[in-house]
Amino acid sequence: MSSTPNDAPTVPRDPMVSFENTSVQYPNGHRALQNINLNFYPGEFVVIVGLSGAGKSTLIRCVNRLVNPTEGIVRVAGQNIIGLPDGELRKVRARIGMIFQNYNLVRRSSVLRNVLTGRLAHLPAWRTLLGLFPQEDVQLALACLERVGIPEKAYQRADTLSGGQQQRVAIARALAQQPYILLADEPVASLDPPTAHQVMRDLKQLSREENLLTLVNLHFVDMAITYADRIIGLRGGELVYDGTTEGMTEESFEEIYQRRIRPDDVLIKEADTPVEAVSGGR
Amino acid sequence: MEDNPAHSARPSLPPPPPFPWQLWAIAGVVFAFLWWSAVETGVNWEAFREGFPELGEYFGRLLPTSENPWPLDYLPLIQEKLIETIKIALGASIIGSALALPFALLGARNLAAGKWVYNLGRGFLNLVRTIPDLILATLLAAVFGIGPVAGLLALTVFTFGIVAKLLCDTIETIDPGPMESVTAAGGSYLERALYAAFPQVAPDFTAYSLYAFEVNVRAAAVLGLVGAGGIGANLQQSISFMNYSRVGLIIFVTFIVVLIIDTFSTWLRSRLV
Repeated sequence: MSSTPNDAPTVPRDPMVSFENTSVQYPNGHRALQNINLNFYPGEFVVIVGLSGAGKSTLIRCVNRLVNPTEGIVRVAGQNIIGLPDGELRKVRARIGMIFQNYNLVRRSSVLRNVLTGRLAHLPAWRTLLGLFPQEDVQLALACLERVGIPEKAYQRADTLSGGQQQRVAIARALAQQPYILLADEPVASLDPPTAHQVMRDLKQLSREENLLTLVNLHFVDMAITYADRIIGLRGGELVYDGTTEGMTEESFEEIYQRRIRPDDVLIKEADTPVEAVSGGR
Repeated sequence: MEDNPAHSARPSLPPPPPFPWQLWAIAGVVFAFLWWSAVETGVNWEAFREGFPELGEYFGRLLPTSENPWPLDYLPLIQEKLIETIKIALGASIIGSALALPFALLGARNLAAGKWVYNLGRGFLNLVRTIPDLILATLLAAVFGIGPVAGLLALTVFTFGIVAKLLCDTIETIDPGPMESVTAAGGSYLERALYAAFPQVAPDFTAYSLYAFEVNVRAAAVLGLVGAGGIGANLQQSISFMNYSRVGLIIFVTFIVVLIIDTFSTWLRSRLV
């Protein structure tokens, strides 16, 4: 029942992330992104759709420079991050949370320790190398686990958790970074439909509550339409759609996917799709 | 039910692949090399035939008999030397493994700070492992004097080489996901190694250290032959005095100790991972 209006594109303000003529060419010659120009604003919940290989992952990874653009500029909070030296780049990354399709947890470590890796870039090196986390950071990590609803799992090994719970740990880890931006690379692709919707609801809610710019890669169109404030469509590394969910028609779908919707592009909808997701998305 | 399902029921089975001639070729090459090495090294079947009975006779002399019993009053001396042997092996395993850990974390390809760091590290590791431990012990005994220090150092180098190499290879097979997430959260190179890589290989590291310890106990038992401490010195002395009952006793006691340590260590390793 969120009352926050989605006013991001209309009210002029400084973008949180901007792409300026950004291109990525991989060493094998493949052009994964071609001349992208985009602005993303604080609090926006953006879903990026496209076929596999369309450049979704590459786009998201340019924001924290897990992928280095070969041309153009990427700005985070106004700062051009291209060519930033290592130490400066780590400071930028410290405030960008990221979650992954395969959760990327250290399976043998405890849940709490996994969440604490979100604090690494916020603490002096001598502390992290000795494993001496201040009490307030441990409290913060526990609070993050509480927010994703699994505080009782803190001292369990990560690999004893179910897939949905592991993705929550990953979200808690991102939250522990106290981020301005949340990146999610196919966050629900390894989950069953009900769990997938639950995770998307959690992400949506966090984005609202923390005014987080959230960029999510999704394959399923119905899910994108359910949760997104704004949809970005990529095809062959080029921007082919940028607009609201209402603007997403069958034609724009075919423009992105170059074919009609097939059953496997749609995740079976959960019966109790949440109110705030619907009101935020449509 | 059909009478012959193999013929009638599966008409679309592909033909079986032909027997790979490459296997015959490889077998041929292996036998050719074996033959060639036998000729080159001058294998003498006569010597084999004459030597074998003597072998039995020699080993027979190591066993205790009523007129030639094992000198049990010699046991306390053996005990002291055996403990020294184990100390050498244990010390070398701990120090060598401790040195190997940071080196492996630096030298693994997926973690290494750069290509030249990786190549340098790998080159050094290969160099370390080309030196046989007995030759190293001989050299070190000449430098540090006859005694356990030379043995300890030689086996430390050996442990370092083998644990670092095995650990490096293991680190290169770990799940890259956690390292990516540490990087994404702003983690440094060392934090990647410590928070993403090390927890994944910790059980393997322990297992490799234990394995090195097993090998070291056996190696330490013969180090004395080159004057590098441990039970081997007594063994060699007894052999040169042709005191066979003593040799038998030393070998027997060493065998029991090695067996116990091996069994325990293997059991411990099987409980890891």
